[in-house]
Amino acid sequence: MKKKVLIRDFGQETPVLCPIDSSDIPLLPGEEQIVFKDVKPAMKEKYDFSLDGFSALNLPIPQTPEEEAKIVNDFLRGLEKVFSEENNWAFLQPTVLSTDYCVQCNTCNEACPVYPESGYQDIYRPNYRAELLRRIYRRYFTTAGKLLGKWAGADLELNWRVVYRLAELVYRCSLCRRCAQTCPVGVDNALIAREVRKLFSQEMGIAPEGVHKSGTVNHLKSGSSTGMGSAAFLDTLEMVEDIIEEKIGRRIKIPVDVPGADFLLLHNAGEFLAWPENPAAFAILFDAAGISWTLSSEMMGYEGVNYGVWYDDVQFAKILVGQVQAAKRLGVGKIVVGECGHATKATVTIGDRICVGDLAIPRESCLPILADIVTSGKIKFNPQQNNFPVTMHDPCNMVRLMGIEKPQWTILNAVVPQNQIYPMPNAGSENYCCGGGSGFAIMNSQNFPQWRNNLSSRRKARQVLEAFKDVLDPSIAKYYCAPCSNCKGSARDSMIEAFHFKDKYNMTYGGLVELMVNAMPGLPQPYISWEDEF
Amino acid sequence: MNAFGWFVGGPYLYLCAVLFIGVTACKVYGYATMPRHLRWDLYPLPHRVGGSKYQQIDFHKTKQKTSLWNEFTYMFMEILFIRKAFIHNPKVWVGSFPMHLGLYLAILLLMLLLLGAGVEKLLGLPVVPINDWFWVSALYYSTAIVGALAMICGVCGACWLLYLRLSDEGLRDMSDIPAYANLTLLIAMFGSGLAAWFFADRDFSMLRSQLGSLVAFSPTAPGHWLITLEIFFIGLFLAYLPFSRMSHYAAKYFFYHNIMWDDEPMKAGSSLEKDVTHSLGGNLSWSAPHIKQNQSWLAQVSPDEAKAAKEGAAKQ
Ligand code: SF4
Ligand code: SF4
Repeated sequence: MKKKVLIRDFGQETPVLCPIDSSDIPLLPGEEQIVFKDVKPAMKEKYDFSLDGFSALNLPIPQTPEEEAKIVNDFLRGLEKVFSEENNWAFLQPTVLSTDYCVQCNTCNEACPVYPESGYQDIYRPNYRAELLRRIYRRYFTTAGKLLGKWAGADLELNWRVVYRLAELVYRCSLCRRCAQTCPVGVDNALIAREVRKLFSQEMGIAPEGVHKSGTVNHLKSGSSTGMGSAAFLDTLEMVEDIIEEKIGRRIKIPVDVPGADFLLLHNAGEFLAWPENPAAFAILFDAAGISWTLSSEMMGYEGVNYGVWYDDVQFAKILVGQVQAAKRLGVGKIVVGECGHATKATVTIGDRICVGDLAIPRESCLPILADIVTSGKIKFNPQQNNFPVTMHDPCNMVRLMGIEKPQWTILNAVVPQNQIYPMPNAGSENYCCGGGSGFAIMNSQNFPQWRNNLSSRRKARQVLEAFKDVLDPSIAKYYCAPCSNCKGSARDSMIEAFHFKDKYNMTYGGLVELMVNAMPGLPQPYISWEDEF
Repeated sequence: MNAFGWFVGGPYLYLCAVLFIGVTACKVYGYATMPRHLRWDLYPLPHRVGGSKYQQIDFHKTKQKTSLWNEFTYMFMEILFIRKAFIHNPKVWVGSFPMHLGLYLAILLLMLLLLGAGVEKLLGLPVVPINDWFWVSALYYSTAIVGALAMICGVCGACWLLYLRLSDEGLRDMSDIPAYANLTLLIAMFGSGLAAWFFADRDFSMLRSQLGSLVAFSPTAPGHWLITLEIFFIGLFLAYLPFSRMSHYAAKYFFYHNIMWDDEPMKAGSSLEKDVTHSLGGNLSWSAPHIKQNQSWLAQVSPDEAKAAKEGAAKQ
């Protein structure tokens, strides 16, 4: 049942403001029921689950009035900084505009992958979390709000529950910005969610563990968010070379630390551990196409991710500068980012205005280079080798936030038979998030994965079922192609593990380069081996 | 009544207009002088002919084709027809479009009235239905038609939006008091205008002469109390507009051009580089443990430089 939660009631003293019941959630075709596991009482006593019964942040419940007051004061101090030029020049103008000009028309609501799939719970409306911030800001920082209160649209009083629930709520939005695309005014609620994440991180030290402590902090300390140091990385490359040899019958020496190469390829280092066939496929393609490229084994030079882009400008800038400096020291012509959406956006566009002076180096996505391999005829692909149904997910970061819409489809059309391509509804820049965006795919605290898999990823699963609706028969093996590491992680956790698409529909998932290699001539065996995938 | 009418039709309206222009100008100036921010593009960008430059190899070496015309037509559709609401929220569009149309027609009416007042004062030609000059007659009729349409569209659109806000549970729950106040003010303004037109001033001649007296800085009291009421609400609307979210007309430019469509690349020696370098030199006072308080961005991102800066400061 839809639960009505008015903005002014957001801080009410109730154990769970909007408990999510599995019966609220619209089932997928073929899905029988949704089961949420109960949280242990000891956990509930210690940590805050009071937004929706889930916890992404592990926030300990304050025990004294002093602790409660500190939460509120720290938040207000941070909020002031979000609106100050000195502390937030990086996003001040977008934040001020999106705070001031929402006309409360709800046009953005239906665009969201989460809100409808939650059974239309008020708290997940795209404008709801932004509206909380607007009303708090007006109440505590504007003259009209201080004097006129609710008459000036400032009707939310702060308490620690409001702060903690808001902290959780900004981690129920994947920052996919699909809502922003529909706003007639131009307001961007995702930007507000990101700025609130930043407030919590940069002022209060609050961020999901997977994103901050074992994410960016780990990245800056070890060289990779996976914790893989340089020596381990070089060992991993040997393993990738072994895979190549096993798959194509010949060993390729992966170029590492080649000074002056045309470009440094930055992979999401998670690929080496979770899906090594992906970096292997890049090596096979670039080798066959005669491209000058290199990987780097230097600290910060072999990890493409930048989790900072989701929650913390300082962490973001530190990582970006580290990556750029590694490329500069190698003397390469440019940086090219592999199949990772957020890494591409962070490095190529968002980071563009950090790369001043000596930090200037061209940076681009791998997709145009891969498309060029196809269109130039450097490799003659045989689409019949991919003679199975394929649907492709367009990663939000690439299509909606960078406008890269054509190259991946040029490739797909060249390496898969036309009658085996099953486009998803809304393919292109209006595509839905995979459900794992903005850190969700790597956030595994408490019961958050259950929320992610069942609510955030549900729309994507629905789209996939819609795309494959004529070939759902499990006797037909099918491939969900996602040219992005996070999207693949999300597919693994939701569609394969939570929704059992492998068992039910014989669906596998993987990147785009794997499909390309699978269509290359002279392979001793198919590159995509369906049984090995899981 | 006459003194009150004169006050509303003269000094009050001048004051409201000055407030409107002054506060709007200050706001626009404030937005325009905010620091250049990090990129936050949202695609597709209409000015990029052939799509995003990131679809090309070595895009930085290629001269990119842009089209201002595409931007213009996109904005035209968005501003005039409220295109996104039409596509994504038709039930709101049913009210939003006529309400906005009412406002655009009201601006057109203002121009026609000013033109008419000029014709009367400067050329001495009365703006009446039957005239030796065809264009003066046309001016007469177009003023009457545009004016009546403006009021009807404005009232209908705003009433529908208020009805929707009160009856639709989702809209009602997300609305704050200013959302209702804004619509009420619009209804009062268009409604009083409609009443003044219907009961007192079918050809807008009274409003025209009122405007003429204002432009000549010799304001008079309006010829009918309904026109006084109309002017009162117009003034209130003007004075309140720049303080309210209804002034998104001014913010829209920045939303689109400075945020969603701003894909200007960083180039060595550019003013963008200068601005950003300046911002990067500013100190941060965020309190989280991973941030070096009161040190610059540069110091945050580069440990060596931070150390050097610290040592340099200690020496001084
Ligand atoms: S950014 Fe995406 S997930 Fe977040 S509110 Fe908007 S549409 Fe929903
Ligand atoms: S963000 Fe835009 S679309 Fe959403 S409610 Fe506000 S004005 Fe309407």
